Amino acid sequence: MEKELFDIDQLISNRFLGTITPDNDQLLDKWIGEKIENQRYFSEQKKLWELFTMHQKMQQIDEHKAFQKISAQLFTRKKRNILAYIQRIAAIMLIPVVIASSIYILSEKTERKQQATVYNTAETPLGMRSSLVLPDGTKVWLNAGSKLRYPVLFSEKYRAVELCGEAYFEVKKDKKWPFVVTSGNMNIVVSGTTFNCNAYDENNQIETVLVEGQVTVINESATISKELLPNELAIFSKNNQQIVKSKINPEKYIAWKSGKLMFRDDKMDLVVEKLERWYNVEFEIKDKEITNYIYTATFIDESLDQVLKMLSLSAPIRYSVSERSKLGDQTFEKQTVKLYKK
Amino acid sequence: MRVNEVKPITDQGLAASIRNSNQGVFELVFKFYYSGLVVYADKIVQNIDVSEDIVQSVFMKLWETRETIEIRSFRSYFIQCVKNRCIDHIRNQHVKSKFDHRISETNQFVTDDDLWTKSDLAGLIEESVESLPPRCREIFKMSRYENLKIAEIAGQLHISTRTVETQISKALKILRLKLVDYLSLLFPLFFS
Repeated sequence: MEKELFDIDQLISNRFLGTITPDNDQLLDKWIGEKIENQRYFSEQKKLWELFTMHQKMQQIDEHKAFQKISAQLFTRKKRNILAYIQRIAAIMLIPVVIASSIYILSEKTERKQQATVYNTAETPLGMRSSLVLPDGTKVWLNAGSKLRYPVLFSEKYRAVELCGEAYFEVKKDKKWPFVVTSGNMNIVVSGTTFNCNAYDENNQIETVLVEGQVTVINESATISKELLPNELAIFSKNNQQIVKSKINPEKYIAWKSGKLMFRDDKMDLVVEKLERWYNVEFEIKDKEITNYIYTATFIDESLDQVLKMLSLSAPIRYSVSERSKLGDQTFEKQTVKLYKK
Repeated sequence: MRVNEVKPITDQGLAASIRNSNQGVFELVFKFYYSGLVVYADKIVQNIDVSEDIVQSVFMKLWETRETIEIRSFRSYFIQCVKNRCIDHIRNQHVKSKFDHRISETNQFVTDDDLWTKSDLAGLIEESVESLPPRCREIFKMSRYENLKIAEIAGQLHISTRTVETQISKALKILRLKLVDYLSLLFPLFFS
């Protein structure tokens, strides 16, 4: 392009901005009409300008909301039962003891009639951890070997998820939209708070630790409920349906979320259980006595080898690690660590 | 440990999943194209709410007829459907003169290349804007993203309106150089 007597880029951008003077407007038109190259240059700058207009418009469009809207129409049929359900939930939150029927049973009923509630399942394999954001904006961290089932679209008046394993929740605050975690035969009802729930199938208890806010732990038949305050731990025993509360320091319960493995005066069988999931290995305790050892340590990003070394240094333990042999389908079997008394 | 071969995601593969009622894939495709299609429709109907309705109805139709539909390319499928619905919409408004005008405008100015997805633009544009000199970038963003008028920007930054204009023109010049390859792609044979 030849050098012009006026700043053509300024004229062009002023036209887009709508601040061009009538004189310059004419001048610009004349310039554009002069040559095909000028015309092309102007059109390209116009496209460029439009690209940004489009980008700005797109950023204001909420595709998540739009999807919720159409999936409500496509994937759910009846909504009538939800209202009755909400009233129950509200009642459960206020006077838990009165309610005889369980959220679990209710939700099953609702599902049947609603037909098409669609669920997602997030699953973290052993040896790994993951995090996700639920449709309502709640953040969830999933510990190794854990599973979270949640509807693609939460019902309008409550948010229910199902947990197997351990998860840390940062629930998006919404008092009118209760968040319910169901695990085995226990429910945790919250309105917006941060807490950790440890509910592995193989354990016969469910531990809930509250970090912030308030939660209510309720058993399946809604006959027993306990409200938790921050820094409290509720242990729900699956066998006798009792809930026991105690004051704790939540640090060690939630350390896993930031990649730390923390033990504070913990018995060796618990230590071993956590290591198994964390590193996807199997432990065999060869001497029963070891189970009763009490252990305190914090591991950050340590390999299994290092952890075992430290374990054997700080407790009268020695260990052996099995070779991993190849299985028929070309995968390797789990590593096994055997622990012996020194 | 077994390593699975990573297969490239193709439109045909995604379409097959949708045909098999895979709602997750449907959601993925929806979220990938939605905002781009709305902006595309808005170019034709000049109304963002109507555009959202149109694009949503296209996706609902896709889901309802998923079992019988053949899709080779989502892009051309969506463009076709959205364009048709936009034209229907304008026709239904019974504004004959406007309709004729708009259609000619459509043919002339809204081309298939006008469909951009959020992810296309995110990489391309955000990066190039970030490369602008700080002051220039600040002013450009205020103008293009916060929709502030030249006088408002000048007032907020305590500078003259002329400086604001100069900075925006400077931004365009720099952005042009950054995006020149894409711009020429957008104009293959436009004037020939």
